[in-house]
Amino acid sequence: MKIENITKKYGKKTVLDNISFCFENGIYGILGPNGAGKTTLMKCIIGLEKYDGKIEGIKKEDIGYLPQKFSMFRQLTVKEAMIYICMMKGADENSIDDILKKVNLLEEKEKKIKKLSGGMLRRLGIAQAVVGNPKILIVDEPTVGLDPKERIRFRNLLAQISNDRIVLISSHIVEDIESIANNIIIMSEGKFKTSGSLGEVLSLLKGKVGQLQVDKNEVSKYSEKIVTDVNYQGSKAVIHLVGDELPKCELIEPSLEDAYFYLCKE
Amino acid sequence: MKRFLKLFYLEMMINIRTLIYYILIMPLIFYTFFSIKDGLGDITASAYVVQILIVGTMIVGYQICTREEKDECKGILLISKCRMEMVNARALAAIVFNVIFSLIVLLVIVIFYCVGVKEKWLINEVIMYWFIYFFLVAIISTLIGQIIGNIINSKLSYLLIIFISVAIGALGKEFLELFGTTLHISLFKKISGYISVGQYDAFEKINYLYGLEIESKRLFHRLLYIALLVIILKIVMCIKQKCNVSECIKQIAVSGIVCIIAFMLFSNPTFCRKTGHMEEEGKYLTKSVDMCVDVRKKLNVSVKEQIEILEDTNLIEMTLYHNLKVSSIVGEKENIDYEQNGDFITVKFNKVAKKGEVKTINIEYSGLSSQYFFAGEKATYLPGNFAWIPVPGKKMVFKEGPGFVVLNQIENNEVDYTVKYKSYHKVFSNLNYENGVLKGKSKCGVTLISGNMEEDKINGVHIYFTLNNKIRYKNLASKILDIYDKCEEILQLKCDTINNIYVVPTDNNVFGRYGAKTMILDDTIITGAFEVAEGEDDYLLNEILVAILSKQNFGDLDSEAQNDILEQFTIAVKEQDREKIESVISKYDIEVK
Repeated sequence: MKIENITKKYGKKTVLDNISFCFENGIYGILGPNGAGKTTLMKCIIGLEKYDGKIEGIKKEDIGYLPQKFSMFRQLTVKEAMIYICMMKGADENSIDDILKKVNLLEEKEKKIKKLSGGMLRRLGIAQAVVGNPKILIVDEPTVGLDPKERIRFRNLLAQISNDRIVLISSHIVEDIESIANNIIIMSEGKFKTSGSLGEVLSLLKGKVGQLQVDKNEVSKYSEKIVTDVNYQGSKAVIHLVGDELPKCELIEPSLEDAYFYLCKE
Repeated sequence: MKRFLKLFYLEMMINIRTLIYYILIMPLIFYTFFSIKDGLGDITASAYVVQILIVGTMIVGYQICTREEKDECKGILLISKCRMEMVNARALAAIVFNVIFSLIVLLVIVIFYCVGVKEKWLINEVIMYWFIYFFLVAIISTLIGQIIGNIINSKLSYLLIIFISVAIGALGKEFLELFGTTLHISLFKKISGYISVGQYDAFEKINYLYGLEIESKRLFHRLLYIALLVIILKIVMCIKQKCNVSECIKQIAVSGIVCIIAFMLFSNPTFCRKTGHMEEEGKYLTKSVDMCVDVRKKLNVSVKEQIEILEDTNLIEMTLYHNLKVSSIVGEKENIDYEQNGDFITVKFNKVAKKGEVKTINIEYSGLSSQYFFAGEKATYLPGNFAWIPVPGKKMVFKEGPGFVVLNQIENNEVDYTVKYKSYHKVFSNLNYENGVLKGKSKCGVTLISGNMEEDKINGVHIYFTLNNKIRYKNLASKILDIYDKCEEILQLKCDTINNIYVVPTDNNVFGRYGAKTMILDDTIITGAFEVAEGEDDYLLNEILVAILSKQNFGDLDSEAQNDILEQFTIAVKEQDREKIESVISKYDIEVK
């Protein structure tokens, strides 16, 4: 899938600013703060939003989509909802049990949707998205509102179903993207700030991340623009620094969180 | 198709499991019960039921249509490739689901019928009424709800729904008039007659334009309404779903074809009936009629008429009620062309028929009935002076009076009738039953009445009555005969002795001036005046007088004159005062035969 010069404006506000990218099979994690344009980009790819530019190499029916807020008709059972989606996508309903097994919802298939927990509902969301074996799977903020156990379960599930297709996951939770995606895109203010594998993204920060032990009273001397974390230990504090011009400090290996902070800071 | 049906099934399941919709059932049952507690006939007064059904089904239609947004699954459904099928399945499921609410009304009606007096003719009428007034109205309001849902998705829509449902409902006419007057917009008043489905006025705008056959006109009106709404819904659906133009045209074409098929199957539009006001005498006399009548499903007639030509002509005109469609007219020895236009048939011979020539023509026709006079498997009500058998000349089948329409009392010369009939019920007639056929002479055609009826004989007079009159028919018949005798005496009538009295349900207006339900045909009195007649001798006297006077030019007088005549005649008959009669006759230039 190739996107070229995608621009989207709401009135005078530019939400997507001339984005171009080429996606190949694999999991892409789009990381960015709220309002970065992640959801809008996904909606443009799906065709729910109009945009300027070009998107090539996909058809509507090739896409499986799990929106940020997902539910189905609450009066239907899990199985009926899946049949509904199969009918809508023109897919074979014999695959429903397999899909439900994969997302661990087989035992709940006769349960009404209104009785599902939040985690179950997200899993149903994934199940409906993979109906018809789509070439592209778009998952918007998949772990929002899930407890830690469900988040881990959901991440594993996404990893399982990502074979031989493009999977686009948007999130502002760094940990999720770090653990699932093999391609990372950091997005801010409607632009792709960087993209690449985790190693490639982190290599940008070589020599730009360090830590320094200072007196507790001196923490405020350091600009908030470069301090990402402060760890107090008695009268001392260890501050974590990210930036182009660091004070004299111990340089350490960068993490994705550092890259996110570095690229998305105002 | 399989996919569509499956989606339809799932949509139905969603509807059925949405418990909040069932709130509608309680007021429906409540008001249906109260509208029929005094008898099924009162169902026509069920304005509240209709209004609740309209509001309820419109809201349900709207909610079904906007359910995606509410259940937060719009995004995933929007990108599906079979979305249009889903939208269509949902629209159909909404209609089918809402029709269930109208079926609940029917269920209450049927229960009442089963536990109450089982009057078959009435349940037929009530079911017909239910079909037009509840079943089709539920479809109409669902479609409107869906159209609103496709255009607006906001809580404000409910205000619009309330406004529209009141406007088209039972309160609509008054509401729109008030609304229009307040805003000084005359348009509202003008359109109220066209959009109303919750009330009916036979003399109002579109209904009046359609003609007299209220049921078929109302059916036509509703079907036309539905067809237009389906097309509008398709257009808004296509716009909302961002269909391309060809898909949009395809969708509209498919719904258009469905509507046309529905029209062909269900509607029997007879709005073309325009008989005009001029009557022409026929150029022939009917000598004898030999006919086969089959009333087992609808009226099927095969008639052999012997006619005598009164002047040299190759064209004769005859009158036959327009809902009875002629399938063939053939002569005994010659080809005959014919044309049926409204209530008139023009028959063209291939050569000029000479005065005095006697011809035989065979006519076959069949058709549905009017609201008033009908023939079918459960009941038949064909009075002799209703043009269900061709009569000479151009006659008005129904006559317009001042503010009402009545059956025109067409009289023939005396005709010799032989009638073979097929019916599921015993048929009562003014003719004599001999060896399996009805035979006799009559100036007032052939009367056939059947259904849930019995007969009795009092002092040599045959009384035929529907079962709801079993208790009162004797008293009623003897009173009628008494009053008739009095009238005969004081009016110096030279009429036939009454040999038959039919006590059968009859609509107001049909037989005479406003409110009258009694008619005299030769030696037969047909009356529907049994509901209020008990203990009201003056009312019965009034009925008999109207029946007698309706044979004169009485029907053409204005209502003030009619009231005056009736009042004077009533006093005169009661006081046995012939002088008063004479003065009224001379004042209004009427004659009493």
